[in-house]
Amino acid sequence: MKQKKLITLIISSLFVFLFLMSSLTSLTREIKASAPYGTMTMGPDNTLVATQTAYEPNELVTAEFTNPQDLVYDHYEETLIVADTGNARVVILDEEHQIKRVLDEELSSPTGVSFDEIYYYVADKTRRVVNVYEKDTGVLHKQILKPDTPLFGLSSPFTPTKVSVNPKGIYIISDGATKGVIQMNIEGEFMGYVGANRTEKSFASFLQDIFFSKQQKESILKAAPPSPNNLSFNSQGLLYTVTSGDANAPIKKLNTLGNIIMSPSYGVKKIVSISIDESDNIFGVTSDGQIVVYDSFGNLLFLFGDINEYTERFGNLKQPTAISVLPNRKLAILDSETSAIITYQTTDFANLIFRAVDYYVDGLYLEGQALWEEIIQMNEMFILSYKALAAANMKLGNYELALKQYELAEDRNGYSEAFWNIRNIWLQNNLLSLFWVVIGIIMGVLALYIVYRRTKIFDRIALLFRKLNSLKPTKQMTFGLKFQRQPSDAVYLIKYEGGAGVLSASLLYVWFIALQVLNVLITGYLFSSRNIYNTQIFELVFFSVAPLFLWIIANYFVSTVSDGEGKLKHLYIGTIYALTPYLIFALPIFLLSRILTLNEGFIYTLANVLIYGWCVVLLFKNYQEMHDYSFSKTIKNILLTAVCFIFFILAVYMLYMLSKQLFDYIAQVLREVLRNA
Amino acid sequence: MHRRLRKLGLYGFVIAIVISLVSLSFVQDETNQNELRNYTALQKTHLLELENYDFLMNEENLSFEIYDKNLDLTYYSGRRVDDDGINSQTWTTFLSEGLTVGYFKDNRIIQRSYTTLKGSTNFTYSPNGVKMKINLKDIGVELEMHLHLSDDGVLSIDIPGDKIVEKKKTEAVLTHIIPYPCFASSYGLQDDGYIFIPDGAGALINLGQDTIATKQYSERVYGDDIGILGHNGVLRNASTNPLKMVAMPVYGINYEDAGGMLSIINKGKEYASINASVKGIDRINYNYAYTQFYLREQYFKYVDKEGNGSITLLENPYVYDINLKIHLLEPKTNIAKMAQIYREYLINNNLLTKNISTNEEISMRLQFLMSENKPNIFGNAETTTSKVTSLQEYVDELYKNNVKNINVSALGYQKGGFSNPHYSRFSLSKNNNASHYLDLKNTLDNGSLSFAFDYGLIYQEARGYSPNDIAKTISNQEIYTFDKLTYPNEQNLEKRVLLNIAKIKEKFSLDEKELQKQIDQDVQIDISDLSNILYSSHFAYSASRKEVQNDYVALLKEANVKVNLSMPNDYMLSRANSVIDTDLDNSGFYIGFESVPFYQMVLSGYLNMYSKPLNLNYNRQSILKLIDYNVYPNFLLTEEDAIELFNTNSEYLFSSQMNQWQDKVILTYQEINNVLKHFQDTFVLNRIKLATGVYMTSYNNGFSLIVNYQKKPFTYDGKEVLAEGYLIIENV
Repeated sequence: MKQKKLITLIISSLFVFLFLMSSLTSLTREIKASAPYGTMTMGPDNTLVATQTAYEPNELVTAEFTNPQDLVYDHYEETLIVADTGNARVVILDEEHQIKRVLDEELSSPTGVSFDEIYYYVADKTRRVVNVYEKDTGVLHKQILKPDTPLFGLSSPFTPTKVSVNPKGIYIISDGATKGVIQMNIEGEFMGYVGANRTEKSFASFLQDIFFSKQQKESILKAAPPSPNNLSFNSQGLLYTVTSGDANAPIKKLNTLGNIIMSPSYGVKKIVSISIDESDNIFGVTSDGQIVVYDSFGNLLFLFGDINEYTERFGNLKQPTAISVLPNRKLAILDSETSAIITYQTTDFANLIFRAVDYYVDGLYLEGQALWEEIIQMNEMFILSYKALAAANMKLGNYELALKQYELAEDRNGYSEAFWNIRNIWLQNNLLSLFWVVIGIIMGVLALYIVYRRTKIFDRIALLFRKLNSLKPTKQMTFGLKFQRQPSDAVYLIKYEGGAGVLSASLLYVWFIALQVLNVLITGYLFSSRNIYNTQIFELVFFSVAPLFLWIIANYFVSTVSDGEGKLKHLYIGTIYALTPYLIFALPIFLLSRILTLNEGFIYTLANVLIYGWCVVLLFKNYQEMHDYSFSKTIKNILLTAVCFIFFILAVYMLYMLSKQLFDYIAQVLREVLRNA
Repeated sequence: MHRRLRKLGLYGFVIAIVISLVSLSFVQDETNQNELRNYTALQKTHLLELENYDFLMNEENLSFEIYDKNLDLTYYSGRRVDDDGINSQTWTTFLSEGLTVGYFKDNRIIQRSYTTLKGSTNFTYSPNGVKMKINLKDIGVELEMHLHLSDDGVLSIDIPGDKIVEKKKTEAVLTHIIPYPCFASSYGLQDDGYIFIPDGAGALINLGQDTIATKQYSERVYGDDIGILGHNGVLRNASTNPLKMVAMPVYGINYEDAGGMLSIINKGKEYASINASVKGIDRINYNYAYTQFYLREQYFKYVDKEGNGSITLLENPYVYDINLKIHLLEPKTNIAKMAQIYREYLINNNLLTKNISTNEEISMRLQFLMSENKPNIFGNAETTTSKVTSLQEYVDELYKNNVKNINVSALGYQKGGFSNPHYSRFSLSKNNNASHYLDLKNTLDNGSLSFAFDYGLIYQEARGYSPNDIAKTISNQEIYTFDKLTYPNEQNLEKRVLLNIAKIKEKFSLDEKELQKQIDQDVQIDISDLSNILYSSHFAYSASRKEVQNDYVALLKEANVKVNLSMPNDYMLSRANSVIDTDLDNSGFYIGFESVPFYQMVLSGYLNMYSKPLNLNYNRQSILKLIDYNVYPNFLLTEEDAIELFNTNSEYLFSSQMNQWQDKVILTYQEINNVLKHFQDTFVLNRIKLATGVYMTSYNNGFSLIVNYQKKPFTYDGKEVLAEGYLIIENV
């Protein structure tokens, strides 16, 4: 009997030993290979530009994983924790990437892993639990099940897919949960939800709300907000959520109240996992195999990784599922399709960037200046450099340089501040002179006026002016001034007495076009919405004049069928004269914009509002008088003109498409004929 | 007592099992070649006895063995291990037999080997080989295959193109031929064994480690033919860091304790692909490399403008001769030896001539972007980015700092700038006239002045060409492709189009004539595209890949100026004055990512090689690589700040201001020159890996160069090589 027991014991030990031998193997290969991808960074005009390689693929770690789904670096133990989902286990790898421990007790499909000083936390999707294991022994300490408190919600799902732990508690992503991240205390008691995404109202949903009946509204799918699908914490315990389905803000940084305090400006689609380093830089990986790096302010630093389904190149990912930052900002990325971990190490260039960014985010602009200058030398398109250098130059009082750099960095706030300082200095240096110049001008004008009134020195000039004013072209060109004061009379003169002609109106249209160009060229940087790079004069002219003419024609058509008296010629003339406030004051406002800061932006805005408002009033008056409509009929006329205008655009577009198809068809037939010939 | 003894015995037995199992789990899966069964020994064979070799032909399946009498070594054309567990007839015949073909039947491509196609052969033996008339009865194909083994160990395999006859075309047509796919193959892991593949600069597939690759290596020689593949080909290659091309159609296998081979594709390379596989891929555990010769290809035939169509097979086959030259290699053949063999082949076939200029110091290439097409509010306008007069001052300053032998290259020198030149006219860009260039040339001491231009693949927005000048694919689409320079910024697959040969000739001749007339007879032209792309052309300018190759070669042969070529394919090497934009990497495939500078080792001592612009990837590792690979430095600079290039096709030049780079240019030149001036006009004898990231390359001048890429020092033979440093020592 004893012998039998002994034999059984020996044989079972043998099997255990064999099993352990088979699992306690992993393979790490250090590979010297160049990056099979280009690296991008944020350049001017919010576009991506190429830059030096920031990360190079470095090591390949395989340990017979099967469909692994999560990975995290445990800085307490200096180990990598891998959720080896397909093998129903969690693998702990040491610094040499050798298997240190395997956790498989009560696990079916672990998909999320985390840790604290004492325990490992494993989210098991199939068993719907979060298992807690002791680090020292690997033994299961406890299981966190679905909370039974009513606060959680009876129908709320509890299917843990990801878990993350900080001193405040345990945070769980549950599949199908829309209320946000489940927050529990360290004992596993439910505390609440945090970080729920909000539904974005679209124009379509707005219209549905207005026009749809209650039944119709109920029959359409409710716009539930996408749920976060991953999460991470920074060293201060602030939560970051990842929502792949949110195209606008896939990564969100939340404060302790659960409010969004930062979301990276350049959103990258399909992010599946993020990791935060000690400087709060954010490292993310997308399901497409792209890796994105942001600084703690959300500025894009690097974007790299290539997607090519045809080839297998070291460093390109196939189906990444998790990313973790290691010491020295090395990255470990888990690829479930190759069942491997690929590590990436920084290049000298990336190290330089990170050092400089550390200074920048800490506000140590001067300390980082030399680094940023070196970075600019290596990549002049690296926009963040200009921002940082501008901040340093502001501190040094080099406002002119800072101004240029803020402009390159497209930082309007910084530019405004720099400009304020430059203007301030200029005023301090020149205020007295300016005062005397203004006094001089006033005195000069007064003197001239007195001389004019009391002597005959300027009589000849005055006579000349009177003669010029009496000429028809001059009268027509200055007719706009009359239009401002007495629009009704002006329209009457246009209709019946030739107060203004087609030629003078055309010249004013030319001036109108010129103002569009001058708007781009002259308007101060702080208030300009266009830039020279992506504005073409032909487009500018076409898109400013064409709608105006189309509007006039639409108005004519509408008026014709509704007994309007205005002729096309008169509408053509009247419209441009109604825009006289814009024609006169636009240029001074463009010039004014060059000396205002953002704080005085209200002046610019107010001036524009007044001018445009005035033009709208004059246009209204123009159409009212031109067609001899009542007030309400004029409004109706304008609304119908708007509808007609839209129809015109649609008609032109359809005509264009049909012509293009016809042309393509003819061209294709000709090609076939020529080919067969 | 007996009980105790039994217990002891039981314990001992158990412990023995455990120890055996443990030791087995650490034993590598290694084959002992000498114990592999020889299948051929029992079948119908014919023996040829040569001076140094015995050639044993197996007439059953066309396989053979070659016994090297001097080395007591046997080379197998293909063989199987007894218990490899493979039952599939397709695989067993592929591994063993001498001929595998692909054919199209029943709307699919099928691949079969000789015996499965009911092959029969008429053998005619000669003293050094055999001529086989093969009939593949199942598919009605007849062809000839000639084997010839020279006394110096070169096996030549020939398949004459005009002898391939398809008798049952209505049933099946040939798509490809693979002669001896498993020559020098092996089973399982092979310590210190590798397969060399000509991927970019070169790559080694390590046979001593398990791979995680799931795909074979399979790349067309000279890259994909966009003339056939069209959009699908572009899609496959489009990448922010594109795949490297196969510029030299050669590959090899080496073993620690068995014979290897170096296979050179001598004829038919334009229609060939090089393939390699290792244990763990294809569900079999063999390591092999072979050439696949295409006779017909599939392409997408469009039926309408929307892009609808279907996959179609070429109706008429490519007709060409196939010739492989397989050099038998002894065990432990170094990669440098493979490079030497290949270089000798190039020289003997007039594909490579020595064209090296040696001075006391090495030369450096400085390329300047002269002008570029830039959008502004009034449309696009030519913007001057560098003035020749400034370049002159710059060069003078470099001379003062002991930078010698500067080769200056002007990019974007024509009116319209780099991306908008005129393809029917010649005029220089504004602010830079001919006399300025002449003055600059006269300034250059031992240096040259060259003018860089894209003659083949041009930007769509260029001027002076019509749709008729664009080469067409077999589907009558324009041959377009992505632009390697701008693809990272804008993923436009149609950024560049390929001009047909007539237009290329016209523009090249015009430029050549005008440059010589206006500037100097001695100017040179830099070409970045014609030397490394090879697309067949169809319809108006119908030309096969081979014909296009001949056209490009003829164009440069007739040139009256020296031409510097970017990473030229082998057939272009004889036309190259120097090699510019040299690739120092490979594609990094999972199957084989270990870098080896095969391309550079072949050309070392014959052509000067210059790197890609260092200012776009300036770091210590790049400098070390230049030193390691005997490649000279190159920078691409501008007078204006690089930010001025934003929103242009030269936006990829993120750092180029020449004054900012001046110090680095000087330092880089001085450092590289201090080392490489000793290795001018030398070729590589040996290259070994001393440790991960440490390589020693021995040259025929009696010196070796150790380069340490690691961030820690390395000690060799008592001498320290600094971290990220190098050391010159005498050859042992």
